[in-house]
Amino acid sequence: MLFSTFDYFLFLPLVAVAHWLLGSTRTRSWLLLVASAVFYLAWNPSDTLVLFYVGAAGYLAAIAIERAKPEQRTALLSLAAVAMLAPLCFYKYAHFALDNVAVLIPGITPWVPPKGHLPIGISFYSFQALAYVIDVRRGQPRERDPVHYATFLCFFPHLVAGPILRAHILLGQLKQDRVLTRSDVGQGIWRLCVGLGKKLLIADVLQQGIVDTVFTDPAAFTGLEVLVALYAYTLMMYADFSGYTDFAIGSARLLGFHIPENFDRPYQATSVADYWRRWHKTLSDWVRDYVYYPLGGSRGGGLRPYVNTMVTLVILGVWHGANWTFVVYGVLHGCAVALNRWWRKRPGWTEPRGAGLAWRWLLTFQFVVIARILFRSNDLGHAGEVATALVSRWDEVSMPRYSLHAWAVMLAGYGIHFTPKHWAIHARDRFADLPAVAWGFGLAMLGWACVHYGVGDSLAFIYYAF
Amino acid sequence: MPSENQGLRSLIVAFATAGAFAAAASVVAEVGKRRAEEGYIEPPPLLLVVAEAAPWRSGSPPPLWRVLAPKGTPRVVEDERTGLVVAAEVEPEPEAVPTQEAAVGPSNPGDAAPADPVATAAPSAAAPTSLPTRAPAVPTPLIDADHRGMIPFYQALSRGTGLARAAHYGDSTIAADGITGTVRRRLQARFGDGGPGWVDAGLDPRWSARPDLGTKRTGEWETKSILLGGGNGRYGYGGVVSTAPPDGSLTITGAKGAKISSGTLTHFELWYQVGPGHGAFWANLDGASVGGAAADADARADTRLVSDVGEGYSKIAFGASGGPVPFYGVVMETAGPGVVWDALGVVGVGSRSFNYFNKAHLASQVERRRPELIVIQLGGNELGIPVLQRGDGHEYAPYYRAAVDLLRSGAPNAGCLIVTPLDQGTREGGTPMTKPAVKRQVAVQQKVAAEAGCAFWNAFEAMGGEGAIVAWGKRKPPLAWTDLLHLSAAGQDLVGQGLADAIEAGYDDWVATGGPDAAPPTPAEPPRGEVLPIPEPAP
Repeated sequence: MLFSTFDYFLFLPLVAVAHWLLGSTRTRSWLLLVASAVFYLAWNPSDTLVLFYVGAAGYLAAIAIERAKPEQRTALLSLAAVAMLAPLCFYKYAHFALDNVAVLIPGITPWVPPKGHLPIGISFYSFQALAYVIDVRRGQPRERDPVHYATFLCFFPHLVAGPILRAHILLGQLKQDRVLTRSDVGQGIWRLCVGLGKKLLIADVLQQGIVDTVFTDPAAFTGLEVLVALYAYTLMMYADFSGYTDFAIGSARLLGFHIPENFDRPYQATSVADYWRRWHKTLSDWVRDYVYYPLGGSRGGGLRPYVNTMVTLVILGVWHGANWTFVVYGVLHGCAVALNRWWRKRPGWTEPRGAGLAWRWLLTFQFVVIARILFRSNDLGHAGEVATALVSRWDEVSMPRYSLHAWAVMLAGYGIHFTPKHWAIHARDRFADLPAVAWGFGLAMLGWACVHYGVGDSLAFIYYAF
Repeated sequence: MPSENQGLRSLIVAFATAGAFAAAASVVAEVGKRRAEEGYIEPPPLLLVVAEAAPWRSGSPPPLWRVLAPKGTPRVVEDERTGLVVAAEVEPEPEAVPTQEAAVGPSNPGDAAPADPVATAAPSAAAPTSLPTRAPAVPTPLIDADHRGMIPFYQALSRGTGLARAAHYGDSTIAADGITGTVRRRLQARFGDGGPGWVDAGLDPRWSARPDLGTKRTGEWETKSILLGGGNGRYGYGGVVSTAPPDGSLTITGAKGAKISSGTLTHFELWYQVGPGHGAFWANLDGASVGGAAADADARADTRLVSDVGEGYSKIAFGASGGPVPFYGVVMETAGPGVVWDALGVVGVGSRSFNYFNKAHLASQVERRRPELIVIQLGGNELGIPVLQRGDGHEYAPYYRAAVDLLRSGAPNAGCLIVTPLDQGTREGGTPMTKPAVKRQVAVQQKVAAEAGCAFWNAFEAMGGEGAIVAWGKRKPPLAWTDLLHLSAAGQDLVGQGLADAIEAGYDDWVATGGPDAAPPTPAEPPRGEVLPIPEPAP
């Protein structure tokens, strides 16, 4: 079920009201588990088997690790990781790996698994379940109630596209006697409104009005038009994914949960490392805690920190998809972060201010925009076509042929993105102070605006595929 | 009151308010729909605006039904290569691929000529089995009773010598040379490469293209077309006149270092205009001058430079000196046998745009080019005109027929093929769908084709009919742009393949039914190579 549909806006209040009418935390967990199952089954019932397998593997692995002798735990963790990541590798990476084997070793025709669709959210819940098992290996207590554990893994607001939650964050709240305050409701509905607007009024408009068309036939557009399309795509990605996160946070809030933010105005970043601290923060934290630090992090001298950085960023890139474009995307970002680190480690380097900071922001933002070519392209050849179109036909420059609507959305979207953060907090608080009728009226008006100014049937969130 | 109760009450009130508004909008929409069906006038605009927000309309599945209904197919479709979600909760793919059993039709596609254009718009039943299937396109034959619309072209194809020329007029769907490029390649592969044919001197580079050619322009050229006028009625054979500034030039080569043509180009023409205040022009083939003269004259007139080069050429250049010179275009051809398919698309034009032409000028230009087939694919920019919004759209017929007659006036003995516009979509209440005027327009054009003795090819139905533009946009790779108006390069190629299939099938049928024996021999192509100044046409 898509968040940005009328169905979801019926589903959510029904679940929320039923949830608050129930008494015990465990009954509430049961309800959330059933609701999450309904939510997930709406996509594709067969995917539920994969979700069940990964969840069960994580639950049993945690039990086994807790009961095992200390010297056996690492081996058990390795075994669990293989078992839990196997579906992800099979569905997401097997084709890519085997295709490349066939290229590297001519004459070999490897067995290729049948191409099925990617179970939705598999990258998110696999990483989440694996983190839980690793945490148990590191000494965190395991969850003994399978209902709470299953609810933690399947909690529908974050199930298919994050944020990637740590077990202790959600499990702790699940077992608390939660209370719904008026402020929770106001702020939750505010986040739903923000998510709805970002998704339907910005992301979908830019995707249909500019991005898809240009990436379909890049050669049909001038260099300036391709450049504008890249800016549009950059904003679209943010509006799409952060819009999803707004839905997730808002929905969870109506159920009494506080789940972590996933974005912090990423295009205001003044370095690529800063960008990754602001973009998909829960994934960045995950690879930092479970990949970068175990590799040694920034400890050690010489090239070691740079190698660790590069490995981490490549994993971040490949997490998004099995394609050479994502490998190159990760390498590019890794190089940028490593270069930034080397620059900052020079003797006499001081934190820039004023014009220096603006220059750093400009460079970072342009890098992020141009690297998006790889993120959106179907393969390296396609990326080459887009890049070629980007540098071609600058002698035919004229006003890019995009609708006034798309232009207005892009300018407004970037305008909002670059406002001070406290403005948004202030707006949220003012909204939460309004009467409940006004919240509902605001939601209805936004729904009308989405129909009137949107593009119709909501498109899937991009990150559903990751 | 406990804070938990306060929160729950707020939650219920908020969602009940939003739900009440949504329910009210649905009721308004439903009442408005029923009253409209009963013939009442439209409700006040405010109610229409409210109705837009209706989240549910009768005929749609009830809310939450899709969540609870049994699932038959995956709800998420992903790109095979990237895994990216390309559609969510998509409708089933349109039944676009007729089976062999369903494709049983008359052996002669021409037999399908309809008495009722609307009734015969469904092409799959008439598709001969000889047409290949290219999903999601639908095999669609020409409708051409006794091949009368295509005979001159078929005769030229069967002649075995010289060139068979087609002039394909259209709008932005033709200007990119996607559909026409595919037809050209297909027919040239079978009947011989006649060369690129006509190329406008001034393409609007934003929409127009010849992907098989590379062009380099110097100087600030001024281009006028029949879209906005301003060219004193003289827009040349292609509907575009481009004035080179003094010292301005245009160089044409093959695309990306390739040859211009797989054949040997031996014939070159440069079409231009003489008149008061004009400078001189020059022209080179492979760097060697093939002529040049003053274009200054007391009165405006159209003329051309013609050059035949025995050993062939691979690069042309021409330009102005001493003053501006208006150019119409160039002709690049082989000696044949072969096919030349001129792409004559001007962005944004409709049937009435041709009124910008001085009629005598257009007729003389077409006559000079000597096409054996005039292809007319217009109407994509006319779907919003009032006459197509009401009734059966029959008031549109005179506009369209006037353009057909005008374009044929210079070559009255040439064949004639009317191709409908492609499917176009709009978003009604947020839902993408085919514009209602499309089917009216297609029906009118089919009727005009029958009355004018033209062959007819239904590109709308070849795409799959109603909703095709939406479905094509959802394909991977996309076959249509998300503007619901234009096809992607892959989509244009698919339509071009369908048109080429239909033409080849029509030709094969004409041959099989004794067409070449029954038809009178076509006259040999007249000698060419002379410079023929054309006098000023009557205004």
